[in-house]
Amino acid sequence: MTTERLSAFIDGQRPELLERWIAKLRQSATGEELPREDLEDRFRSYLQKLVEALKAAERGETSKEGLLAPVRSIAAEHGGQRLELGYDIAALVRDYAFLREALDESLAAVDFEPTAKEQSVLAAVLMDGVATAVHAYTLERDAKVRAAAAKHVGFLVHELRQPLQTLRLRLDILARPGRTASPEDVVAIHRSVQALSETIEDALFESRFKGLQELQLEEVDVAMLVRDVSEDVRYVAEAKGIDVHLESTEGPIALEADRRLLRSALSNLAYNAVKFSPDGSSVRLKASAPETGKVVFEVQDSCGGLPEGAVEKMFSPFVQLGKDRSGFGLGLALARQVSDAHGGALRVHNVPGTGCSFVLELPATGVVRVQ
Amino acid sequence: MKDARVPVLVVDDHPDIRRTLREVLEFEGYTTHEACDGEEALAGVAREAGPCIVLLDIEMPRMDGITFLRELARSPSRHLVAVVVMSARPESPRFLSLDGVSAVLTKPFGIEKLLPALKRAQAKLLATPAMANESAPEGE
Repeated sequence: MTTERLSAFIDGQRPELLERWIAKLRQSATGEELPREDLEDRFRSYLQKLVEALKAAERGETSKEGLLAPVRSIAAEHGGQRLELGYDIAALVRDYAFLREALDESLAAVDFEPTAKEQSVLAAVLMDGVATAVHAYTLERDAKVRAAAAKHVGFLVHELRQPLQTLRLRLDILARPGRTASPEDVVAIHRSVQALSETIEDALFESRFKGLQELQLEEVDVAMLVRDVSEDVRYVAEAKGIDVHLESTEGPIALEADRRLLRSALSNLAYNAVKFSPDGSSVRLKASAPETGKVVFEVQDSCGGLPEGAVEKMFSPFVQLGKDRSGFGLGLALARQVSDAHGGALRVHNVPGTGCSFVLELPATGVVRVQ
Repeated sequence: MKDARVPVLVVDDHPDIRRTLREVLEFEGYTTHEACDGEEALAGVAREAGPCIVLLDIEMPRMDGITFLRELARSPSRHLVAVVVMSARPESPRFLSLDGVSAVLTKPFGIEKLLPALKRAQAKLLATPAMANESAPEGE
C-alpha cells in the first residue's frame, strides 16, 4: 500500500495509461482501423488536466467550476473530433469508460487504493468529461443536420423556381390582349408543369424513403414494370419527339422486389434519359435475366456522353451536370438508394460522343421464372 | 434617346426560360441574343459593338454567372455592359453586392419587375462617364 497521492501516481503513469487506453480502443470496433494520431486525439492533454484537477482538490479547491473547467474545453474538443471521425455517441462514451478501466488496472497492478475524496474527484472529472464531450458532439452534429436541411431546401427552392419562371412569363405573355396560346406556349407550359411535378415527387419519394424501415417485397413482373416505366415518361418523351424503345427479355420473368420503389428508381433514370437526350433522338429501356441469374435493367440515353470526371460526382444528391438540370440531382441519388436497399448495384457507362447507359443489377436471390 | 433600347443578351441554361424571355423582350422592342452559359455570354459581349445589357443566370454548367462577372471585370468591354442577375437561389438578393451588377431579379419574376430592372440598368449604363460619348442604338 502506497502513501502516494493519486495525482502524483497518474502523473507518473501517464505514458503507460495512454498505451493501456489506446490498446483498449484498438480492440473496440470503432478504434480498430484509425490512425494512432486520430485515436489519441487530445488524451495526453486530458490526462494532464485530470492530474491538475486532482492536485487542485488536494490543495483544498472545492468549487466544482475550479476543478472541472480546465478539463471541459479539452473534452468538448474531443467530442467534436469524434464526430468528425464518424463515432457514434456510445463509442464516445466508451472512450471515457476505457480510460477508467485503464486507470483501475494501473492502480490494481500496484495495489494503489485512492482515498474516498480522490475517488470522488476522479469520478466527477470523468463524468463531466463524458457529459461535456457528448454535449459538444450533439451540438455540432445538430448544426450539421440543420446545415444539410437548409442546403436541401435551397436545392428544392432552386429546382421549383426554374419552371415557375417559364410559367410566370408565359402567363404574362398570354395575358396580352388578343394573344392566343401558340403550340410553343402549350409545350413550354406542359414541360414546366412536368418539371414541377417531378421535383415534388422526387422530394416526397426521398422523404418517404428515408423513413422506410423495410422493403415491401412482392413478385414483380419485369416486362410489365418496364412498360409502366415507359408510360411514366411517355408525355415528356412525346413533347421532345423522343422515341422510347422497349426491349424485354426472352420469356416472362418476375422478381422479388419493392414494386413501388423499383418503379420510381427506374422512372427517375428514364426521366433523366429523356431530359438529357436531344429532341428527336431515342432512349432505350431494356430488361434481361442473364445466365448469372441477375435481373439487369438498362436505360440508355442519347445525351452525347458526359464530361470528364462527371461520372464520379453524379450520384450525389445535389450535383447537377447537364444542360437542362432540373431534377437531375435527386433522381439519381434516389435510384442508387433503391438499388442499395435491394442489395443491387447501379452503374453508369459513359460513351463519349454517344450517350450514357445506366445499368441497375438486382441479385439472383430475388429472381423467379414465371411458369 | 428616349425610345432607345440597348440590346439584351439573355444568358440562362434553361432553353424554355431563354425562349420565353426573348419573346417578352422582343415584344417590348428590345433586340435580343442568347447564350446558354458564361463562356457563350463572354463571346456574345465581345461580339456586341456598342453597349448591351446582360440578363444573367447564376447557376450554369461550364461557366457560371459568378465566373462570368469576374471575367467581364477584366474585359475591355466592361464599361459597355450592364448586368441584371436573375437567380433561383434563396440567397439571390446578395448578388446585388457583386461588382458590375445593376439589379437582381429573384425567379420567378414577371414582366412588371423585368422591364423596370432593364430600364434602370440601361439608365445606369448610359450615365457612366465611359458612355458619355456613346449613343445607344435606336429601338425598333
